[in-house]
Amino acid sequence: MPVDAERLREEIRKVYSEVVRDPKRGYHFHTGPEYAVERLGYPAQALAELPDSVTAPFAGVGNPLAMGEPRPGETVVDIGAGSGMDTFLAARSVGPTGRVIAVDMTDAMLERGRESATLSGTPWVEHRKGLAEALPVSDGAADLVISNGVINLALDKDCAFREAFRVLRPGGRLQIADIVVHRDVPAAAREDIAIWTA
Amino acid sequence: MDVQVTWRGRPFTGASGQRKADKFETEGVNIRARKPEGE
Repeated sequence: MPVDAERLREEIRKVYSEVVRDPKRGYHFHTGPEYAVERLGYPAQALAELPDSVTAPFAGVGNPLAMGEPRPGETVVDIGAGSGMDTFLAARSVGPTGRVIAVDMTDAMLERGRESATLSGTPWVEHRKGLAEALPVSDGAADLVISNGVINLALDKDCAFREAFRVLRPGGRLQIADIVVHRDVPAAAREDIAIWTA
Repeated sequence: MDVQVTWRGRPFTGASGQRKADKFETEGVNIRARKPEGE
């Protein structure tokens, strides 16, 4: 039986709500700023300037901003922003004349992100609830779309990429980090939610 | 559309917890692309 989309999303929400609550518990993925610096090449100084509430739950799989930082005044959309480490790094680059729209489907992540925006004094960061397959962003609004470890969790990946394309302005950039698999995933495994979330 | 993979790595190596997905040889990638002008 194909995976039920809403059940999958609920399982994902559970996992990442727990990451916010207890980021050091130990998961099937690494978390936190030391991992980001040592494995993924994030700049240590920039992360040290962010609140622990932003960096500790970080659970990305690559480094979207290593491919180019946004410019002052630009609009960035962060798909599946999580606790917002990439969001707030982007916010520092675009500055108060720019805007970062952080989209996430998990209430705990949105709540943490809004608290962090207040704490870090970056009112140009806006958090919106939504899915990668239905971004709450108007057509052509973004100069840059980023994402880190999120597209692999979307059931309809073609739709997620179409949405990213839709919200980009002509000439806009897409910079994503994600995981790929190098072996065929059999149908039975595709239908196993434990594998999607593990 | 021009799409480039700029980094590959093994972000999950050494993580604790259940790793059912390991057998599918997961790899982390950074990918960039640009939306063509006029689209």
